[in-house]
Amino acid sequence: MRRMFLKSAIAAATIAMCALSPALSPAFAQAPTKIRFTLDWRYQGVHSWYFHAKEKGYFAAEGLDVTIDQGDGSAATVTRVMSGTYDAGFGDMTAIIQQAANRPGEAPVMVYMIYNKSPLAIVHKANGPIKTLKDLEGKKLTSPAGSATVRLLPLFAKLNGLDASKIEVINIAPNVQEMMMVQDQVVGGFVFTVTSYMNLIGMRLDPDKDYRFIMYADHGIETYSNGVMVSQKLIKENPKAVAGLVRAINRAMLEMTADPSEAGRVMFRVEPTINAEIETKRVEFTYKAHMFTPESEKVGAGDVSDERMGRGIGQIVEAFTLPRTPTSAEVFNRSFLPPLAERRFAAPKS
Amino acid sequence: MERIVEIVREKGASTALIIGFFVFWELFCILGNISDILLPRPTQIIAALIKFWPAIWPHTYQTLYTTLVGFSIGVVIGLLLGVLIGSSKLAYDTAYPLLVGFSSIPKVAVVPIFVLWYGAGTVPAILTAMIICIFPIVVNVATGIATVEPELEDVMKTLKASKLDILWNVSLPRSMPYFFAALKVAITLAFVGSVVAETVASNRGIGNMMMIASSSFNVPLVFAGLFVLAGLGVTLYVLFSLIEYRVTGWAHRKTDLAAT
Repeated sequence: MRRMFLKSAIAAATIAMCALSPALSPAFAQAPTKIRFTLDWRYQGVHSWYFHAKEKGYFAAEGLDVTIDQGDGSAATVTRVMSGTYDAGFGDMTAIIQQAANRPGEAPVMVYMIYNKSPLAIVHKANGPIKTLKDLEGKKLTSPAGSATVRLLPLFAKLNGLDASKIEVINIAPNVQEMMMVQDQVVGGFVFTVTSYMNLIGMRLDPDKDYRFIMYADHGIETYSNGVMVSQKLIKENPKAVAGLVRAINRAMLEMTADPSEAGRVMFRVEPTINAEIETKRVEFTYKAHMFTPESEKVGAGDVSDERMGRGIGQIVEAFTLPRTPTSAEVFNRSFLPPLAERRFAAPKS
Repeated sequence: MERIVEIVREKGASTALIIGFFVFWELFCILGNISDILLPRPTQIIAALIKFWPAIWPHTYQTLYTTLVGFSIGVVIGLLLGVLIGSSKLAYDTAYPLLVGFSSIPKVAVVPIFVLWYGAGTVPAILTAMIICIFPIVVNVATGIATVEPELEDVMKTLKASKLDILWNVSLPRSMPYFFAALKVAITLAFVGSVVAETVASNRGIGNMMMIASSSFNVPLVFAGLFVLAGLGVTLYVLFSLIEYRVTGWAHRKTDLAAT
């Protein structure tokens, strides 16, 4: 009896609400599309555009309700999206290529490239024993076990006439790599520039003056790196949402790279224990080193060059001995990008 | 009077040890000129704790919430399983190997799997806290029930008590000391579980805050996180000790209990 009363009361209230507020009904008619988005790592300055797009209502304007979760590595983004728990994420192209080779039809698809130049690099001291690439032979370097940088070492060595077997690699956790180098236990490490550069700054050292990065990208490795990926399911079922997501992220990213100090503040608002200045520096460095390149200036933010993508895929297939070579259309889909005029980087405020 | 002196002596020793430990730490860092990136001084940690307190509080709340929810579910499941396993030889022999197998899995390895199923956030943390605290409870409760003196059961049987009566009136009360000993272990383990899950995948929680802080080399804040965890752990441990004392005081041979 009581339950029935409750039920009818709720029904009456609902009817009353609908009748009283006709202004609300359009919102009922079109509920926002829910998107679960995973980052590649814990909150950092380079995630500011996703939060900026959320904060400023760019996602809402596209009819999207985006939840952003922290990540556990840029390769984990790919498995998270493949599991169906997430619809989209910020993660690594190399991992997409590997999954696309092994499980075609399931791997996520990149729809917006962000790190145009790969952050794979070897870090060493500026005044250390490494003056030319040849000096790497016979030296000890660190690497996290199975990291992409060290997996691509044989290919890097082949392209540059080195003998990879003469380079001694010590497996070690990523957060102590710089420490070992600073204490001269090793001459350097296989790293991602974005992480390593900021680690050195965190240790109150000057990476621009006292350390050097040998970028794989400057020595024949052509692979692309992190960008925004979506599940194939989302592309099939709701292409409009994908286009909206890309449009909102594109706009927010260009605004954040043009104003890095605001990027630091956005992240501080998300997580007040974050040091806004360090995150601002991270955005500045990443923009300069990986996002704004001659190629991304030509094709616009988010896009790639098909020839380079083809060659990059070939290198990954060779380095990881994949069973087949995915086409570039399998891993990158440019059809959701806004027109080129809307994808121009503006010089950052300083 | 004598009693007070004794209490002071008793508590004085442990307080002096704690204070001494921190003073030694502080002096060690100052004299050894150790950078705060490697090991911050206790005063720096407390300064960080005060400075970031408004930001730390939501993380603390989240960790406490996931731990307690996971722990409660774990206790209920653990108690039920423990009763089942302890009161039946067949269940004991069948389920034990599986249980040991589950408990030997490092929980860090399970978290990414939970994340694939449920996404990052509260659910993986609760589940990790839960599975980590089930095992000690099951083992203890099962042991407690299995070791009830057969004479007691025989007496109950002659009084025409059903199996359920025996369980309710003899076995369960008898296993309470074991159960509470397990609770004290389980609550600290539950913290480990939820913090481990938070360091891997969560948007909030002390574990997550420590990961963010360490990625920007804010080492004093990382240690402040450890302090908060230690504080929470100690508080809950004390809480369960008090409840244990109230409920199963009869099982301990304490002189002052007889006096009251």
